Amino acid sequence: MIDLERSLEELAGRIEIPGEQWLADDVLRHIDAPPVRPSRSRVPLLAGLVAAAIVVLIVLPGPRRAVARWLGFDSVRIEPGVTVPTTVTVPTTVTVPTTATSTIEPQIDLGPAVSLREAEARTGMPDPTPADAPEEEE
Amino acid sequence: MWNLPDAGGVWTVEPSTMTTESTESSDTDLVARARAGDLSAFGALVRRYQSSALRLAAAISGSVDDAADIAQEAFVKAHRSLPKLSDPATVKGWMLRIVANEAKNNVRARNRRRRRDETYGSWVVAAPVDPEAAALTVDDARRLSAALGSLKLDDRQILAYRYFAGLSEIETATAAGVPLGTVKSRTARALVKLRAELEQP
Repeated sequence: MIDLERSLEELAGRIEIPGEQWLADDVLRHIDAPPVRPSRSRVPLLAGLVAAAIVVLIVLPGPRRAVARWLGFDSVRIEPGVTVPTTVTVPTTVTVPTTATSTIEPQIDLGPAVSLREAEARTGMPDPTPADAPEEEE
Repeated sequence: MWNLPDAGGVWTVEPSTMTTESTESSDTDLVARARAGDLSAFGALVRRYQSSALRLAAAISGSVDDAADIAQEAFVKAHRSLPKLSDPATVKGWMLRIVANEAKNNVRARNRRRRRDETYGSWVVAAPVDPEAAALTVDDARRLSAALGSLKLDDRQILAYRYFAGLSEIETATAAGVPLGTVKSRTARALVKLRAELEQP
């Protein structure tokens, strides 16, 4: 066992390891110049700054418009002040007329009104009205 | 992967650097000054233990190329954690424990990246200055490195503390965070396993 221990110690002494000459200097340089990566203590500060910037954008119309213009939303206007009714009354019963009237809305331009016989004569089409239908009121 | 120089090669690291250099400042003084912001005091601590740290990192990770990066990262972490060190007198074992943990992380990360095919111990072993007095031939060194690489990480770590970092059993107990008796039994077990590996054809 002693020989093995001595062999290990000798092996350790004979391994050539680069970097021994400059290791301490490298370590001190790293300690002097820590990485730029934000530390945990800076994270809340950064989050606060971002939140403040968002609030400024929401509250002040100038920056808000500038950002909207930059994003291409400058034609969209969102204005406060529209009152939305909190309750909407919906009728519970709807009255439906039992007889339908065949009145034609006057604004629809279908030409001058003619009698059924005259329409048959003009179009050459038979009267589609059932034979037992009541007579048209002229 | 092996690049072993022929007999007559030069020693790049003298055995004397394996021991703690004698300086006027004790570890406790250097820790106190480093905690107060004296960077040169921390630099002195790094210089004092860098040889042990590099050998420890190389023995655990099996790569001399990674050893310097591992040791550097570990020393930077040690500097950050210096206020947490409870007993400044144990700074050597404490620093080397950080190095060992960093080296084990390196091995695990390498395994995750599926770099297991890399041969453990692809390092240059210098030829002995006095071949007559040397216990190891170059071929022995190669076989010993390969056997060390085949051990489990924990067995390799305990042997690395003792024989590569040059820690005493008490210092190893501090570094590994286990009782002295555990260090003795683990070391003996790891040596038995290493011997068995070496005796395999």
